[in-house]
Parts: sequence; structure tokens; C-alpha cells
Amino acid sequence: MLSTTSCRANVNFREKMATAMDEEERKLQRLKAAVHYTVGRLCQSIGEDHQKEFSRQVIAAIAETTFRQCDIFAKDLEAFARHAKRSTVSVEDVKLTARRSTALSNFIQRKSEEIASANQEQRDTRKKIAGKRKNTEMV
Amino acid sequence: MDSVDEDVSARVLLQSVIHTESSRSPITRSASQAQFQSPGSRVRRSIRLRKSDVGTLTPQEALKQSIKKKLHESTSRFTLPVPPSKRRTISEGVRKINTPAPATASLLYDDDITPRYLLRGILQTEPETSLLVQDRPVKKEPELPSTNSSLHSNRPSTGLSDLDFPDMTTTVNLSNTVKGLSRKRPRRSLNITAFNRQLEHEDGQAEGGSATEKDLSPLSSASPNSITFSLKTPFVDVRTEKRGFQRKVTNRKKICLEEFDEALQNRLAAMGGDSELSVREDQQGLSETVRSEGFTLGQSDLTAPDITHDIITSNTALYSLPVDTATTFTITTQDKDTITGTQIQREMGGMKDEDEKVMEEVGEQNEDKMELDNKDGEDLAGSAGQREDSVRQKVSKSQTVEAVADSQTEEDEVAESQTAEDEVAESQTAEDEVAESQTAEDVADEGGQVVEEGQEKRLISQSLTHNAMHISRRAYCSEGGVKVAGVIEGGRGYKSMGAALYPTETGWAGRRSEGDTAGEWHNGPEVGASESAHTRTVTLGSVPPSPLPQEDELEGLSRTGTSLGNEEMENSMPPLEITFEPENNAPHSSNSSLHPITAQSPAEHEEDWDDVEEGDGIRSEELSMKTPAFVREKRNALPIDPLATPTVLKDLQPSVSAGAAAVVKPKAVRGKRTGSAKKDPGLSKSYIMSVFKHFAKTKVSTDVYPVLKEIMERYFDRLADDLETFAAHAKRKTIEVEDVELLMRRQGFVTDIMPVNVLIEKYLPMESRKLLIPVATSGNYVIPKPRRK
Repeated sequence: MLSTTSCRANVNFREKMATAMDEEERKLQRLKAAVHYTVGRLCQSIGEDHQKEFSRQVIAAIAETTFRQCDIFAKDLEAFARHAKRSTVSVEDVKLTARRSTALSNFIQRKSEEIASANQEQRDTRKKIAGKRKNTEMV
Repeated sequence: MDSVDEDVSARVLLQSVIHTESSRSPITRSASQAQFQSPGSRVRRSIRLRKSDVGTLTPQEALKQSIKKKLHESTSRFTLPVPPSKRRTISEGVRKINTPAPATASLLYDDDITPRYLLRGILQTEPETSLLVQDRPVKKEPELPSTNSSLHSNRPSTGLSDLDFPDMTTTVNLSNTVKGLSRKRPRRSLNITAFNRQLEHEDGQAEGGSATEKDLSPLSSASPNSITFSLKTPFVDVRTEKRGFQRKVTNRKKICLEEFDEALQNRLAAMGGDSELSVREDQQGLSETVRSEGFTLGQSDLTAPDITHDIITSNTALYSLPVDTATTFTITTQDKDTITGTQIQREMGGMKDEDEKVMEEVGEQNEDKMELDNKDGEDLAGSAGQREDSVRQKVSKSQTVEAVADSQTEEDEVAESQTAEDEVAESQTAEDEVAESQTAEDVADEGGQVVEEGQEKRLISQSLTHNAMHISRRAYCSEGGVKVAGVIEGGRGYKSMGAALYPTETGWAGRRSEGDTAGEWHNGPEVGASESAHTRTVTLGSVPPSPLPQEDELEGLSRTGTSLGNEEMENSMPPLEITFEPENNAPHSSNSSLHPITAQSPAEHEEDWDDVEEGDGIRSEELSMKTPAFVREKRNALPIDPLATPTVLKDLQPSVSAGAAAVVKPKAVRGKRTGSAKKDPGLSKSYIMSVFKHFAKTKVSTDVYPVLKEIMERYFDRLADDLETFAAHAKRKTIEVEDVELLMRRQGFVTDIMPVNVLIEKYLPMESRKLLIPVATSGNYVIPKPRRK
């Protein structure tokens, strides 16, 4: 009885492991599908701009490449963060990753500045509000 | 030698057999094929064969080839594989002796496989080896007088004993063979080892022969005993090893007496005048390069090419670490050559290729020539007057330096060669002995420091280097020392590029400065003095540690910025310091009597250099290869241009890194000094080509060189930028080991599966490994070197 239950437990465990792996696989597949879909949409819009069409293989290739590049990016970002002795990936890490491509790095730079300024503004407004409140309270 | 004796006895037997068999056509495939074809084709094939032999044969390969050939012969008559030199010699020699008939050829094929044929081959090749090795009429070949003579006469060049012994000089072979001959050796027992050795000899001979064949100039032939450097894996010839232990020293002496003068003369002739030199170098260089530089990827001892070199460097080590010496040496020389070559071009404004080649040649033959260069340079200087003094000093010093570790010697040699050139150019204030002694130390120290410097000071040094380069260039120009300027600039330019690959350059610069500082400073124009000093020190490279380490620093300082180095001369800062100084203290250079450490104070990297300064006392190259420097080397050396073929890329990196390690230090120093407006030429052509060829399994045409060079430059630029960025990313100002590791990760060398340590163990020499992985050889008692954090 016990042995059978243990066996079944083992089997269950292994199955769970397998399913877990399958889950991983399935997740990957879903992610890949999502990337593929997005790439397809992008290619479509670009093709409309230039009156050109993208074949299926091209889209698939781009999607696959993008997916793998994302993987590489992730690993690099993690390595960079660790290199800077941080445990969180920051904008700096992202900028470092994108420095190779000038256009991309410029874009990211601008975006990051925008975000930073937006954050700053938010903080300023919050401070002002807090300050006003204090004044009113004090008064 | 016992083995030799054994061989002789067997050989005698074989000889008799051969004589009796001579009536048959002892033609190998090549021979028989040649018969069928026109004589021209035969010649062509032989040449081709020789070339292929030269280019591609390593001892193991030769052996494999012979075995393969045998198999081929047994299976198919007319296979075309290039037989090893042995076969060729046999076939050719025999052919000469007899007119082989096609029918007999087929018979021979069978014979090839038989032991008797092998023995015959051995016999035939054996005497060639000995006779040609000597390259002298000391041919006492009792056993094979007829065959030998015919063989020799027919193929004077092939027999040349360019034995590609990894670590043995020709002198060694010569003595061995001579001894064997004198003893009427009844040697040559047929055993595999003997046979293998024979093959290796063959290969070496063949290679040497082919290489030498190309040499038309008497000069090149004058030093026939240059060792061919074959693309060999780290394999030590058994016989060589044996012989080395037995007779190496004695052999050396023997040859030195005779060859040394020859080599010297050659050197002098070659060195006479810049233009002359370039031209001569070309002539010589081509042949010599082929011979000496050749395919020294592996263990071949670069010091071997010239007999004088050995003497000068007093390289009495029986077996120098092939990796270290070869690689380091190669790299150093390469760097030097490249730099000088390019510099010369600029200076001379014209003989670009020639200069480069010349310089390459010069570099190539580093070991040989460096010593010789020094001497040659010295001779030239003599005319100038001051130079003589300095040169003599250098020579003496270089000799003294020889006692220093081999690695150091190599650096020195490189420096020396460079300095020799400089000397020629500058010939200004004679170097003081100080420089020499210092240079030796400097080399060691500089190497380490330079490397470090290179990393950190790239930014800073750039401006400084520019100044220094200008100054140095001017100095050189005035002196007519194009080479020197080239070297310096090249070195600097390289450094400014952040190519820590060539710390040796800087090392040289430092060394040079040391030498100069001793006396020169006060002489002549500041620039000239400093420059000459720099060059001097470099030449002095091999000088034993001088009491005025500061001088180098001073020189460095003066060189870099103010070129007002006179005062700096006073400072006896170790060369290491100098490398730092120039960059850091360009503005302060004039007041150099600063202590090396203090002098560096302006540099933010002072703390970084502390370790380096400590290293000043350590004069061994090995020690100087501090982690940062070494890491830098590795970093620079490893990633070859990614645009290169994938296979090549991966392969090149390890080899380059290995080679670069030793060279890094002196280059770094030199780089600093030469960093001027001139563009950095980069590695020397021969070096790049040889490394590339080593990893490319097929032939490589020379057309690839400009492209390759461009690619490598870009690669190194990018590499330096990346490292810099990584360091900045970590909010540091110094490039550290982890930066390099990160880079390697990004490049795909270090993965989750392949950790850095494995790569280190796989590709780097022992000393480097010890530095990087203190645990590896410590026996469970680890005191890691304090890394500067």
C-alpha cells in the first residue's frame, strides 16, 4: 500500500516535473507565438508604407531572430547588472546593451530622458502639492 | 650520441643497400611522376612541394604525411600528395643518382612501405641533414659520400638545416650532426623514434631548404643555420631535446665564433643606413623572414634564427618554454616591427611596404637581429660617434642582460632590436650603461606597468602620447632615425588606441628612457635627448636593472609631454613609472625627479599603480605580468576581429592572447612614447599573417593582410571601447579583470558551460594562469595576489 502510494507519488512527481517542463515549453511557445504575431503586424504596417509585402518565411525568420535576441539581451542585462553590483536591471544596463546601434542608442537615450523628466515633474508636482498642503496646514 | 651511433650503424647498412639498389629506380611517386611529366613540371612540383612543406609541415604533420604517403603509394601509384621532405629528398636524390624507370618506380612504391626503404630514406636524408645543417665543408659523411654529395650538390638549399626544432638553435643541430659525423657514427638504428626524428629533420631541412631556396642574397645564405620556424604545435623534438641536453652549449660556442661574425656582418650591412637598411632588410628580411620568422607559431625558438642572437642574449637555456618565448617573442617582435615599419613609412614618406617589411623582418628576426641590430645599430652609431658609446654599452648590457630570464630577454631583444634601430636613427647622446641595466628591469616592470597603464591611461595618455609622439618623431627625424620614430609612434599609437596588446612597446619606451636618462638627457636638444634616451633604453632592454629606474620615468615624462626631459633624467624612476608618468604626468614631466609613485600621484590611477610600483623591483617578465596587465593582454589578444572567419576568430584569439602576454609589457611602454600624431601601424604583418595562417587550415595569400589589419584595428578599437564602457558602467575608472570577463561573456567565449578558468587553462601559458587562478597550482594553500580594487 505504502509502496504503491510512494510509487504513485514518484510517478506524480515525475509527471509534474515533466509537466512543469512542458509548461515551460508551452510558455515558450506562447511567447514565441506572441512575438511572431507582433512581428507580423509590424511587417505589415511597414510593408504598407513601402508598398511591399513580407513573405511568411521572412516574418518567421525575423520573429525567431527577435526571440533569440531577446534571450541574449536578457542574459546581457543580467550580466551588466551583476557587473555593476546591482540586483536590479536599470536603465543604465539597457543603454549599455544598446550602445552598438547608434540609432537605437539615441532613441533609448531620448526615451530615458523623457521618462526621467516625466518622473522629475511628477516628483516636483508632488512636492509642490505637499508643500502647499503644509503651508496651508501651518497657516 | 647513442642514438646517432645507432643510426650510423644502421645507416651504413642502408647505405650499402642503397648502393646496391641504386640501379633500380628509387623513385617515389613524385619522382616517377616527374619523369612522366616535363622537367619543368617536375621542378615546379618540387618547388611546390617544398613550399607546401615549408608552410604546413609540423613534425607531426610530416610524420603523418609520410605515413599517408606510404599508404597512398601502396594503394595508388600516382597520388599527388606532397610527400614529406624526406621523400622528396630521397626521390630527388635518387633520381639524380639514377634515371629511374617508371617500372621501377612502381616497385619503389612497394619499397616505400618496406622498412628497408624507410631506412634508405633515413640514410639518405640523414646525411643531408647533417651535412647541410653544418652548411660547411665539414661534411664528414663516411657512409654516404656519394649519395650525400649528389644530394647536396643537387639540392643545396633543401638540405639546409633549417631544422625546425622548437627550442633548439641551429647550432645545436649542427653540433649534433657534426659530432655524429665526426664519430663516423654507426648510428641510425631503425626505430620509430629515430625515424620520426628523421622525419622531423627532414621537415626542418625541407622547410629550411625551401625557405632558404628563396634566399638569393648572400646575406641570407650567410646565416644558413637559421632555424625554420614551422607551424608547430608545442612539440619538442625528441632528438632535439636530447641533443640539447647534451651539447647545446658547446654547439653554441662553436657556431658563434664562426657565425656570429657573419651574422654581425650581415646585420651591419643590413643596418647600414636607413634606406640601405630598409632595402637590405627587404632582401634579407624576405629570406630571413621566411626562414626565421617563417611559421613560428609554436614552439620554435625565435631566438634561433641568428647565431649571434643566441650569443648576444646569452641564451643558454636548454629548453626555453616554447609558449612563453615563442609567443611572447613573436608578439614583441611583431609589435616592434609593425611600429617601426609604419613609422619608417611615415618618416621616409615612401617606402611603405618596404619599411614595413623591413621592420617586420627586423622584428621577425627579433632575437637574432635584435642582438644584431643592437650591434648594427651600434656600428652605425659609431659613425655618429655618440652612438657607438651607447651602442657598446647596450651591447655589453644586452649581453649582461642575457642572464636575465628568457622572457625578459625576449622583451629586451625586441626592445633591443628596436633600440638598435633607434640607435641608428638617433645616435645622439650615447646611452649610459644605466639605461641598459635599467632596461632590463624596465622591461619586466614596464610590461606589467605598461599593461596597466594602457588600460587606464588610454584616455589620458592619448593627448600625452600625441605630444610624446611628436617629440619623439621630431627627435628621430632629426637623427634620421625613422625607425625609432616609427617604433615609438607605433608603440604609442597603439597604446593610445588602448591596445594593451603591446605593452611591450611601452616597456621598450620605458627601457629606452632609462638608458637615455643616464646620460643623454643633458645632451643635445631636449627632444632629441629624450628621444634618444628613449630609444636607448629600449635598445638596452636587455640591460640589467639599472640603479636609475627613474630615468625611464623621466624619459617617459619628457617624452610624453614636455620633452623637456632633461630634468627628468635625473629621476631614476623605474621604467614602470615612466610609462605611467608620461601619461599621468605629462604636465609634470619637467619636474620629474619625483619618485615614481609620487610622480604618478596626479594620476588617479596612482593607487592602481601601487602594485605596479611594487613590481618594479621584480624584473622578471613573469612577475611583471601582473593580473591587470596580463588580463589586458588576454583581453586584447583574445578577441580577434569578429569579422574574420569564424573558425579563425576562435582560434586566433587564444593564440594571440598567449603571444601577446609576453609582449604586452614592453609594447605598452613603447606605445606610450610613440603615441604621436602618427597613426598606429598595429601588429607587424608577418606576425598577423603567421597567426592567421596557423589557425587557417588552408593556405593564405598575402592579399589578406591589409584587410586583416584593418579589421584587427577596428576590432581592437571596439574592444577597447567596450572595456572602457564596462568599467564606466561599474562606476570605475580602471578596467579590471571583471570587465574583461564580461567582454568575454558577451563575445561568447565564456558561457554557462565554459567558465573563464577553463579558457585560461586552455590557452594561456603557465605564468599567466598562475596569476589568474592562484588556486590552480598552489596545493591547497592559496595566497592570492592582492588585486587592486
